[in-house]
Amino acid sequence: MSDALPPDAGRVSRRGLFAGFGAAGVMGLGAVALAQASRSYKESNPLSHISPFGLHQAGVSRPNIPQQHCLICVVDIQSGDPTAWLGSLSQEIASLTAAPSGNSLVTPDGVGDLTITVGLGARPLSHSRHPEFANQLRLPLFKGDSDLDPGFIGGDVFISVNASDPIVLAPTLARVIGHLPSPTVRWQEFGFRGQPVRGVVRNSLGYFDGIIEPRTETELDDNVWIGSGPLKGGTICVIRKFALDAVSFRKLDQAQRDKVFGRRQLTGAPLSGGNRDDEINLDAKEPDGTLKVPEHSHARAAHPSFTGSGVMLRRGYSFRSEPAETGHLFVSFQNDVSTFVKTQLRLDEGDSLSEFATPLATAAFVVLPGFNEGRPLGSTLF
Amino acid sequence: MSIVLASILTGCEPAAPTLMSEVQVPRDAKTLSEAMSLVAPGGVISIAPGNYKEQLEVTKPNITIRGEDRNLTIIDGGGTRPYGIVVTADGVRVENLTITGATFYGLLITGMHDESGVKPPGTSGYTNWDPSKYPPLQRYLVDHVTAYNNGLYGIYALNSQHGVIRDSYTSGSADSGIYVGQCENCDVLITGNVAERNAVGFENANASDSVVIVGNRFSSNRIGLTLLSSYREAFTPQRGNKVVGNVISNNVEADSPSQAEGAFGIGIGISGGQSNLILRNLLTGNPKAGIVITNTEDIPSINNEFESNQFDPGVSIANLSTTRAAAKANCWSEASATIPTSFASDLIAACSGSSAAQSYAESLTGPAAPPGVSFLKVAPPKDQPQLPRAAKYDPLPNAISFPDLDSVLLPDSALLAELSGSK
Repeated sequence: MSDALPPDAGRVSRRGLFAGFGAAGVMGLGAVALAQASRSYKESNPLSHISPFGLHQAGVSRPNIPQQHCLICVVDIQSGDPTAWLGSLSQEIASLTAAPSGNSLVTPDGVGDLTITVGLGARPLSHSRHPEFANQLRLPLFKGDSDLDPGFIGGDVFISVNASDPIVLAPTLARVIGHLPSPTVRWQEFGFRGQPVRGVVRNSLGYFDGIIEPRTETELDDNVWIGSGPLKGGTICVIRKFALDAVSFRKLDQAQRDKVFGRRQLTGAPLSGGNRDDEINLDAKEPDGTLKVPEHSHARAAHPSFTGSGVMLRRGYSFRSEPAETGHLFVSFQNDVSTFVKTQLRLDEGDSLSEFATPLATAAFVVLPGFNEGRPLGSTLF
Repeated sequence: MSIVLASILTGCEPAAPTLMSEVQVPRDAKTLSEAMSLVAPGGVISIAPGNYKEQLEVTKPNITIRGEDRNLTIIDGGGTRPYGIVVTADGVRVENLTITGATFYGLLITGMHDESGVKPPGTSGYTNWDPSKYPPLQRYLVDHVTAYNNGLYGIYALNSQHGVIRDSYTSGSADSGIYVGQCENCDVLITGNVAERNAVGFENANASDSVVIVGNRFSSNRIGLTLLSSYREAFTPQRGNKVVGNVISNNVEADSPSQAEGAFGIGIGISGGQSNLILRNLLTGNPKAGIVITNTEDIPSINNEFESNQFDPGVSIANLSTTRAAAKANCWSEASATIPTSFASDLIAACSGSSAAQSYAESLTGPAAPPGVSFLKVAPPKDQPQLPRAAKYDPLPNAISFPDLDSVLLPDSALLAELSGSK
């Protein structure tokens, strides 16, 4: 099993030093804690309407499986009267996503599963009645971020327009942006997802992604939704745009590719054994002591048990554009930005998948609490 | 009708066995589990020489499990059963026997159990574990136990307090020979043991406060001893152990399973460990470094004190901590030959109260780790000394009495060397 050892095994990297903690899931008694993909739930129905109203904005936990297409946009704004523009924006979102036909100029054949999700960055929050929330969005510069143009770090407003029908995304986004005060688009990207297989899609490198997620109400309350204060019902969104070097990845042989992810490509099963939706056994070893799920595999590096933090709700998309042939729009929702930060710092210190990824944009936003006709977006902040 | 049925059922019930203060295997009971059902709380199970192909769960308090011959009373997992002996009751002694061939643990002592059985240690990471649901096991003694060629750990005390592991021997473990984990105010004494030909000799994750590790031989592993903080178990950070007068040398053993992260040639590793005392240990023959300190995620190694240990020239202590959890206030008043070189002055300054971030290196050089050996194929140990049967087995104490550490000197390389080696 010498191929399981790092190529420079004579050198001890910081992360490759020692550890080998205990904690084996022996005797088959491991409690499966989170809803797993095998739990029965409905595949997304393109015709099912998603209400824009409620305690939470649409597009975070509903629909339960993200729509197959999205347009994500990060915008800077001039300071206007936030109450005014958030009010008119709320009315616009309500109109665009109203059942059954929304705005007939945008969705002439019906609104379908269109959702619009809005977040605010640190600068607008610093001008709110609760400027302290701006501090909750601080992201350090992660590996590769220092090479980014400042225009791709942060931003004032986050808009995600998601729908099964890709045609409706651009006109919807245009109408939403029209309500922002003097908007300047920093960047936008069209994202797509494959067909879900028992609730989980493959990423652009061909591997199942996002298998274990918070899904039940309790799991979402514990990990995703902000539970109290002016942001109650909101969440924090981290978005990272990565180029993925699929050409180099494909040059690896099958076993090497599987070791990068810690899973088998064909079935999605963890290299520790079992089925796709089983919890990974991070302590499983070969008789000679080598880990079945390699030390730097993505499944191990990104596993929340190592960081003592919560679990992110990931709703990422693939994208394809020049010059980056293939890429990934990482989108996560969590009630504490440190959940993401601790995980990304760990990835920066030893994740085989990160070797193929180059960051293109990074930002964090507060996804405002949900709204209804008497309570517009941002009403608790401005 | 129901009355008739009830009387029939009653009539069919076997009479409850009379519990025995001593059960001899195989004289009184053919199997270990049958012996367990027959023994009275506080009693003794005495096991004759033989190869016992079963798992024993010790569920009654204050029991003594004793082998009549340490080298010939063998509980054998056969490379297929997960454990040899699991202790879930308070006040249990295990002595004078051998456990081998378990795919996970030779001997596990754990407070992690409830009415549905033993819980696997560690968390899935998706839920927070509530320690109050699993109060720690109380009082245990492991004495003259040999645990070799087990898949993860030889002797493992988890979520347990007031224990002693002494004069025991472990080898061929694919993780660590002896492991103490997940306890606060542990009140644990680890003394007189030999751990060799393991991936890790002795390992501690999140076992804190009164853990005293004195007079052991943790040589000829891939890494001798580790003190770790781990978010995968309760009670971070690890803190407050005393490691005194041990021989932790020559941890360059090829006849051992691989360490999970490829470690090799290291005496002591501290990852996110805090306020530990490392005093008068022999740390020679560890070519990467005698001691390595680093962080566990955002948990730094801080306030550790190193004094009067003996290293080879040139390879004393290395700091590999990352900037996000910098090592601070780790003190060695006579520091020299550190990695990086400037770390030495930082260690000295910390003894005078400096709490500045300490210099770190990116990596270590040294010999490459050889391929791992299957835990079932590592050479078995020599015969180990017998523990004579006690005249009487009193209940184990509620508190451990520790040796006077001031009188423990830097050991000679011959400490416990007569027990080392293979058949």
